[in-house]
Amino acid sequence: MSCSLNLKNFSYKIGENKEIRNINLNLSHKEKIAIVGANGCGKTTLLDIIAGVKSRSGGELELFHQKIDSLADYKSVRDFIGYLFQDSDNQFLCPVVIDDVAFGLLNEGIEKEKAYLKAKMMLEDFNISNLQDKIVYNLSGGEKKLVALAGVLVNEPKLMLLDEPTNGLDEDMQLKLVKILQQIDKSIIIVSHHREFIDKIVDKIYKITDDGLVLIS
Amino acid sequence: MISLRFAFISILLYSFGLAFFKEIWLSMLLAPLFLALVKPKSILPSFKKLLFLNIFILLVSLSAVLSKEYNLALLIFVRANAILFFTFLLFDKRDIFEITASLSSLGLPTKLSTLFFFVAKFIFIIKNEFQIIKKALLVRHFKRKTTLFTYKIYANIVGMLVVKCFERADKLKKAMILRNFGGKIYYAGENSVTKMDLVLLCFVLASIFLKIIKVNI
Repeated sequence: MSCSLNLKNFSYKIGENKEIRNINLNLSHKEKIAIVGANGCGKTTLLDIIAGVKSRSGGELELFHQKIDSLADYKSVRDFIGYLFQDSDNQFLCPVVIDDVAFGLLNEGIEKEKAYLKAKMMLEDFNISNLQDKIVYNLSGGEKKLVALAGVLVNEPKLMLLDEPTNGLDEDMQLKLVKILQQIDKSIIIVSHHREFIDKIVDKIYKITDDGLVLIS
Repeated sequence: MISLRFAFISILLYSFGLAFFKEIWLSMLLAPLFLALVKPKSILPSFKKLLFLNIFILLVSLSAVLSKEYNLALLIFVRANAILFFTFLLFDKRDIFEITASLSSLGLPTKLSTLFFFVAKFIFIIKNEFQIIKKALLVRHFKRKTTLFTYKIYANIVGMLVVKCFERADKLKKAMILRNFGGKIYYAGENSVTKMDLVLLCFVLASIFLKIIKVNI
């Protein structure tokens, strides 16, 4: 089975003193996993490193069979990675919903008409077409999360990294998110504390401990 | 450990002392050299900061060189570097909030030290927000080009920074009202005078007075 992500004897630092070691992970194509752990144990940092925002301190990292030795190596794989921020506000780069969803496509150099058409279709898929002309900052927490997710999915990434996706969402919105994520046919890594939510989506659950990444379910 | 109160007094004495002379003398380096000996780990980070700031210092010096004021150019270069190096060594690894809050221990009016504190807080907030936007640009694969799209995104970023700062200011105002803020920041830092404070003060005074009493070192 083809592999989306491979971490071997991987280690990284949290802050100046703490180091997480012995991270071994093999994420197959279209496999969905979750990473849990105590507050401050380095879950988001691990996502940041996989996404190429921060550097690791040691070990090997392979993305889509390509060895990644430095942040510069991300150039060829970055387009295949989608990242959903914990706080959706931090993800928006355009003030209007439709512009932000179309951002990734326009950024790729896709024609304006095609980009906006695809963005509209994505909003329709999520049943949030009514939001397309709204200002992102005026949306509710759940709406923001869906718009942010649409902005990620519109680029058709192969690997999705979701940082605390249920943060600030009510139950209805969580159910909506579960349905969307269950239908997505991609490799997904979810970092979350919300066990009930991740149980409905992922195949495996790992925990970050002092001994490294441990498979717990 | 040098107390912040004495750090402020030292930097004021040292920078004013150096500013009033129109020539360079070797003993003016006594105070920074003493600090470099006491805090050897701070030398490299201080030099790095100094290197960046020298872009501006060199520009000023260059303007003096262009008007054939060679001695003035050298004086500006050495004096600015000595004062900045001394400042960086003094305040290296000290928290910006601690520094601003401690201004009240110097006997500065409460409103002024509170104002400094909030200026520092907002610089910190803007820097944080900028880092978050940088992360969003990276994970959303923003490609910088010389197109209208790129400039539109840059304009969005500036606009969003302003909006986010207003939002943060609003939240801060709400916190102040809810916590009955009376216009004063409390600082429970050190108030005692240590031996190191006195030794530093001696070196600062020696740096200046060896010139005044015309001791040639």
